[in-house]
Amino acid sequence: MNDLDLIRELGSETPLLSLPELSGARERVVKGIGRDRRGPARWLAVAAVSAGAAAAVAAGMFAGAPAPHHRAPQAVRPGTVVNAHLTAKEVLDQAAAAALRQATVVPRPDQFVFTEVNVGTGVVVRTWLSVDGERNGLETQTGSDGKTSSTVILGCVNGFHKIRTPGVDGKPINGGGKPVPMKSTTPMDGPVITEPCTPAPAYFPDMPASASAMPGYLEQTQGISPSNLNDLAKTVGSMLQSDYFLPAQRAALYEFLATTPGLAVEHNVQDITGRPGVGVGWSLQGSRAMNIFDPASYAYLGMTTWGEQDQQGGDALLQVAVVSYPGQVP
Amino acid sequence: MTRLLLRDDAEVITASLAEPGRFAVLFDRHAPHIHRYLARRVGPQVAEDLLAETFLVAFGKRAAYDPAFRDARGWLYGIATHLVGQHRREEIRRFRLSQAAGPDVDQNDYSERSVVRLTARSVRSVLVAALAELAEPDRDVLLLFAWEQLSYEEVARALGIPVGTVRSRLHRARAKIRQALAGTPAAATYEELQSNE
Repeated sequence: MNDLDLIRELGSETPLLSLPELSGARERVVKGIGRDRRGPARWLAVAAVSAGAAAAVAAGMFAGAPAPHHRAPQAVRPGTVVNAHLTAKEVLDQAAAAALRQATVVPRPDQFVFTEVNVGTGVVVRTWLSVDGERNGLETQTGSDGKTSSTVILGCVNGFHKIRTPGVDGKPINGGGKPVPMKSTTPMDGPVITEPCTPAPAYFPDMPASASAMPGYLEQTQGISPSNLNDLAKTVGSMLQSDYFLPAQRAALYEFLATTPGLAVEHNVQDITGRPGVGVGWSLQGSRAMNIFDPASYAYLGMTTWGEQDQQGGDALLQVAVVSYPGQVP
Repeated sequence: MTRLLLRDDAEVITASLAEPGRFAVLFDRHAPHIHRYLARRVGPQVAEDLLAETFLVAFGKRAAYDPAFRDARGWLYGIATHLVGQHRREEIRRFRLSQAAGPDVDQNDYSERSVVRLTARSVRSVLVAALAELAEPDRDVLLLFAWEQLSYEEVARALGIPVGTVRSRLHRARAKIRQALAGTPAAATYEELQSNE
């Protein structure tokens, strides 16, 4: 078995869907064709799901991809504080100012960034990412049925991480020869081996704290074109839902986003969990999306997207905190 | 009612210039494979949206399609790959999570096949990490070649690069993958288990 065989085996884990299973995408294409666009078509990626949601699918924990639920934006609850006079830029500037009012707490390398995200369809993803990427983290998903599954996110120490291989009492299953049937219920209790890796931190000490330095940083680290509003706004939302930023870094992110043309404010919206908010949105070819902020505190609430047929998707950031160990809930 | 039979992709695309609705035929022919490619790279949820985007971009560019190429598969993969490039973050995150979790293995299945699969997980981890560390252009070539089984020429056309560049990128990518796999205890064990099957 050579390297190409191994890669193909990895690819074989992804099923080939039938056309009926792709009817949603087909419907969008047919609708787009109906308009007979003259220029290159662009589609707002409605699946601007959180990294947690994408990772959840990657980890094979869902039986199938969660379907977007259909729900039009709803009116805000009575009594909500709404600053209806603010523009999109002003909302982001307010969010930056609110961030700067927070105390600066620099996480220790041995700590973990805890995020709790409702990814819609009743699934809540909790993630504990190592601050420096060098310790094992954890991700749990709790479905609407209350069942929870978990995945260890391997840390990377000095370019290597440790994996416990199949075996019993620290010994390999095959005993150096032909594999033998295991008689224990702990099949992953074999020898620990080390493998090469690259740390994936959840906090970035070198991230700039000024808006002017942000485009270069995002281009380099996120691989996006900062002038592309769709890419930029989605990336900012995605970062805010999985990583930890100092107040000045967060403010710089908001301030830079505020300078990007094309954003529009939308008042009296709700996130996917029904929390009232003020949205900073953008649209492309009939689809639209928005990053949503608390209308009073300007805390980031999450991202919601609507497709051309108003199908709603997105996720809601419920908590972000720095904790001491994976599994610890603030 | 007589139905015009469009035999190959070039005919479909040409016909869709006058009758846009015919372009849906191209979706029906290629969508499952393009979707699987996208799902392999960015996950199934993002993939469905990128699938629609791929065909809408293709539709918008159909007037520039060269009908000398009767099969539009490479053209569609090229558009899809370009869109994956805009979702690099999702792809890297997907790789990162994949390092920690492979397909579920029945914990009560102690057959040799199960043992092989469990050991394959550790090989998988090395492999996924190595794929994540490849330069994007190298990864594009390697995955189109290995997963989608495109020829050198098809990869070249899909990505708009010379065939020689495809060869050099593929060579470089495979060398890095082999280097990552070489000598790892997991790989050795895996090979051993495979040979004992």
